[in-house]
Amino acid sequence: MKRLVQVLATMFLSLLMAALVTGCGKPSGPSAGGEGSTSQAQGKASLFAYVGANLKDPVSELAQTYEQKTGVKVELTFNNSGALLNQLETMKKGDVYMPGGMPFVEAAQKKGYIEEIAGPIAYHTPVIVTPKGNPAKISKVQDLGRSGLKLVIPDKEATAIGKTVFKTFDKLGITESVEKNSPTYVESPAKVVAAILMGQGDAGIVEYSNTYKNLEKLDVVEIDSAVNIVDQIPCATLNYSNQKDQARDFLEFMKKEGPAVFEKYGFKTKI
Amino acid sequence: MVKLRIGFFQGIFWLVFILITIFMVVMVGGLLFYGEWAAFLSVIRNPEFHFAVVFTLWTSLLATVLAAAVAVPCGFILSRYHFQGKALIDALMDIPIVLPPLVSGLALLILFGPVLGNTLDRLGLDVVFSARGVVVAQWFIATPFAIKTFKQAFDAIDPRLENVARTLGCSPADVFLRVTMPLAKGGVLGGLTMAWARALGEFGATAMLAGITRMKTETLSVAIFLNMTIGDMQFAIATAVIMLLVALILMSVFKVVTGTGVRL
Repeated sequence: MKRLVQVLATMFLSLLMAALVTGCGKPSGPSAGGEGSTSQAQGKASLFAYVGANLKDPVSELAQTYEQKTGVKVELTFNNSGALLNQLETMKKGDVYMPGGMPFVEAAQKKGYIEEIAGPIAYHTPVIVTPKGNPAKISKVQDLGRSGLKLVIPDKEATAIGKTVFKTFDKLGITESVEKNSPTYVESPAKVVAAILMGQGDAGIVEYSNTYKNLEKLDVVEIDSAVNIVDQIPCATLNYSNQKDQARDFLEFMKKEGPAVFEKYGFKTKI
Repeated sequence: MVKLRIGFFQGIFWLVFILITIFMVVMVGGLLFYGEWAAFLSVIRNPEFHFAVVFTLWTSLLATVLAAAVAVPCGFILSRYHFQGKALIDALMDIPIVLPPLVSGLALLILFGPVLGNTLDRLGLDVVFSARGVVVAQWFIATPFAIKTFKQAFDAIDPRLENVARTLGCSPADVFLRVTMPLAKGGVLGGLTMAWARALGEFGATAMLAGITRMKTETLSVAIFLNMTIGDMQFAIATAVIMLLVALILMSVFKVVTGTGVRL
């Protein structure tokens, strides 16, 4: 028995060593799976873009199309708009910043990171979602201030949609009661959808495009356009870019091709 | 088999144990129940998922090996020697356990970006936004667990045994390899399991340091995050279930083979 354990332990350790060696022998950057060969191999440097997680689908498709057209790979890293801003601030590198809303680009611009802004590629429109059948009978945004509701709201600092919708709440003077009704803030509108689907709240705020995949399980209550604040989804190039021409070229491409693709994924592109 | 004679006191222990087991089973069951088979099958066929599985396994194993390489000497020093400020240093090494992974990630980003970035770039060893970053983040999060468990394993060894070996003519290295390590084996293997488990599920620090890039820094937890963000709940749940099963199988096999439980 003891021998067996020893043999197995040796095997395990040699396996680990093998992993170590193969791991160390990996080329830098992309690894395993043979996907995304290193940019040097293609003779064209790839672009690096910080993209709001909520825009994953349309931007992924656009990046792919761009690569097919120009041979330039666009590497996308996703996160919420605030975290991206932190990353870009810390690293001082990258070529394109595309958060979920204008305030983040403006914040980056104030700090001198932004070279050029194109947009709006699409609009982000806050909407109210409720579980199927709307059990809490919410018909307008003012209803969210009703006492005794349980709301799931995207974070007002970290997410673009949260930032926007709180401006509406401020305008209507219901911020305080909404905050009372929100036991928690989540870090992305998609999390709001998940929470509402799992019956964790009477209503939540998401971006219009978050709803199109789950229309059979959710009810959507549009916010009256008289009070709703609709934000632009811009795309910007960064001053840190060491290939500004290529980055600007991508921006042009986004301006031209972007809206149609965004529309396909349920975003509003016209006001 | 030990014959069980249960008195009142052990009865309470058994009750708690059984309740927790049921809780865990129900929790896993809920995840399985909530998922749909169709999504499950489409996930298994998805190349992005294949990439994530392979990538997660090799990064987490590599991170575990590196964590062990650091934790053996650190655990040994902390166990055998007393020096000024030891408590503080011990606490310092626990920092990654205490900090939210996001903060750890930010700290690593600052270290490997503005501080060391240019040097590493010149060496062609860029860490930020790369697969290397994933390993570094996992290693950083997993190491304190390894150090803690290794230290406890070394603590449990009677130093006199080591001294006897010295008097019988072993060099310090000999003593370590032929007396200390074999005696500490159980704890060390338990620590390795803990470290690996922690590396496997790592998300927060990885997202900050290595970024969330499809097919490049996409571990299973990152894949789950990405699919949650686009409202693809089913894909996320299916991935989570598979991740859970893989972890469960690997951990069980490891524990049976090495005859260790995780001791913390």
